[in-house]
Amino acid sequence: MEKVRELVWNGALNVQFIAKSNILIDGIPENKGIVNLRIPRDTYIINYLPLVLSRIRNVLKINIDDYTGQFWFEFKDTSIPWHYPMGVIYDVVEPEYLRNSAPANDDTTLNMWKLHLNYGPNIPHNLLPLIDGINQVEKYWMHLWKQACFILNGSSKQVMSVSMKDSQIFWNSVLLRRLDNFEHIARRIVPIKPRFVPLIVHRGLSFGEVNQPTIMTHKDDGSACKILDIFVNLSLERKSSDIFICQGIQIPLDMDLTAVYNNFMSFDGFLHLVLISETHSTKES
Amino acid sequence: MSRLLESEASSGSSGTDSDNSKVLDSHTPDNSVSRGQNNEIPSLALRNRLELYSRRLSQLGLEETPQIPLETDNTSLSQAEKEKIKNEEGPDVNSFKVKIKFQPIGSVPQIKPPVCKISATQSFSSIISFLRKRLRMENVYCYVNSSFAPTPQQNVGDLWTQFKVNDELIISYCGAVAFG
Repeated sequence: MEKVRELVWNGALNVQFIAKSNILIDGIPENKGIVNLRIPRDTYIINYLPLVLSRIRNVLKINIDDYTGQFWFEFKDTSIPWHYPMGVIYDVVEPEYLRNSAPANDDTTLNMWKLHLNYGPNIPHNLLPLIDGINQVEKYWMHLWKQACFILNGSSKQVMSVSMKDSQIFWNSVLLRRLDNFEHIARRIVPIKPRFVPLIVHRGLSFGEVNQPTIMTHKDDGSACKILDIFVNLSLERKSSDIFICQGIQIPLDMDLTAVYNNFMSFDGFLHLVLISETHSTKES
Repeated sequence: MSRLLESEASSGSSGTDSDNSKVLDSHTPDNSVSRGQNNEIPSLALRNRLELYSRRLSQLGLEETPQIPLETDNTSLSQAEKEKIKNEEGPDVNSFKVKIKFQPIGSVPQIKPPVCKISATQSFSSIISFLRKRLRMENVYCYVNSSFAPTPQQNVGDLWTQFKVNDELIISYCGAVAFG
């Protein structure tokens, strides 16, 4: 399990940030507003905004030390939310890479996710406004952990009892990519045998369709719940082409939910699954 | 918003009636007019009764009489929200509704009635905007089970299913950060 956790934690995406021409100084070529980064899947994209801005500050119209509007990222002219893990957003908007792309170990191919950086006085309506910068992100993340803890333990006591010092180490483990520190504190919150699993099911190619089902780890007859049981829980008709993706990997439907959670849990305490169905694939084409 | 969040307490209880009477008395042009005098002024008494019935109807989530202006939640709704409510009243009129129990933290006033019903398909942001309008406060911080603040986009039905206590989702609210 530790090996899988390490692989999940170190999973990363190649991202190309392209500043929109309207936020660049007039006359500056567009390639001057490009930043290429390799970003972990298990983090928030907004955490990398200061780094991206610092790299292109000399070509931006906006003074990044003093601005009143909001920056946000877009993919194919759709604003992308910052409050889901980076890898989840990628799996939601680009699910077809699993079916169509070249093998990941092909040395001649490099998958690059192209995102545009935009700026405006008001943030698009589907995004959470960021008023307090990274501090707000940290608070938001901590509230998610409290919520996950409540589902796992029946109360948020385990998170509430984490000291200020440890909570800072916990958050820094996400920023500085320290898996040992993260696991050390996460294990104090996540019980060995939880009754319920904090689960969020996203629908492929759509940010609005999100379900947070209440799903037990074991059924009434004592048997372990499988990924397949999520269809029943969500009252969905299962099609043969339906697949669940987690951390960029297709999850077998007969896998125990607890095992999936323990191995693929996200850094916010939730298990994020992306459901890709045939209808979603045809929607894009 | 009264369609979004319907009053759980019905107007049948005598306590509610007396409360309403007090409110209505304060709204009459002349507060010094006694009940006996009201009988002597039929038009004033009739208006009071109409206002009382209208208020009861609005508490039940039914439409109030249009010619009597009352300070119901609908008056503070934007056109877009009214349209949204109107659309929901069509095919989705029988959608599942869940109970929300509001608990104030600190010096914030208790909203009345404290228990409301809301469609399970609504997002948590509708509860936040309801409280902001009802309390007339710029910022309202909401917490579930005095523990965590959900995301505004989270589905109320999902929250109710996961965190309900005695079939009620308990939402504490405050004018400042209460649980960091």
